[in-house]
Amino acid sequence: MENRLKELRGERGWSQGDLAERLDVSRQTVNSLERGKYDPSLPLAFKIASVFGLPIEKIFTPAKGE
Amino acid sequence: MSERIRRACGRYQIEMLASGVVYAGVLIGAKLSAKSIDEPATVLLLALAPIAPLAYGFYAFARYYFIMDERERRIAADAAALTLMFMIVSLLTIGFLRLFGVISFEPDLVLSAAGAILFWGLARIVIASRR
Repeated sequence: MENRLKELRGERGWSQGDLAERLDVSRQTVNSLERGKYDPSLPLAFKIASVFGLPIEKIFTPAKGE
Repeated sequence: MSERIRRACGRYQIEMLASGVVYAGVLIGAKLSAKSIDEPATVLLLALAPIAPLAYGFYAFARYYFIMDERERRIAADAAALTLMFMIVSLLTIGFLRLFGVISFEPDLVLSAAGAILFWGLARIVIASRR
């Protein structure tokens, strides 16, 4: 799965730590999500969507071949 | 890291360190004391004494496990699954080698448990570095 987390975080001028605080996860988890190494659960994906004020499909897209 | 997780992580690290130090102290103390005591009930108490700090350490981990975020929990669970597989294969290998008389070495249960904890810790580091 691909995501726009880094781009959206950058637009808001947030650090990984700021986003981690908003999502109630560790900074390492934010880093992992941004690098596409970890796919979030549905509840976390909804939380991310809520933090950015966007629908999930505007943030996460299936990777090529998925 | 969120403030809630940071606080829980700090508390967990302090509790694990404390339980580790107490465990080592109690283990050494009990082993030394047992040499000069013959009464079975006291020896039984000394033998079981190191379990208390160890159990507290596991309790501290269990509490932290349900506070950590989903990725960290997944890493800990995956590492536990790998450790279980490693232990089963290792013990079965040693068991079959003994059964067929290839070796006479008997695995030490205390060392096996310590090895499992060490393997789990290393597995967590390796899995975390890949995610």
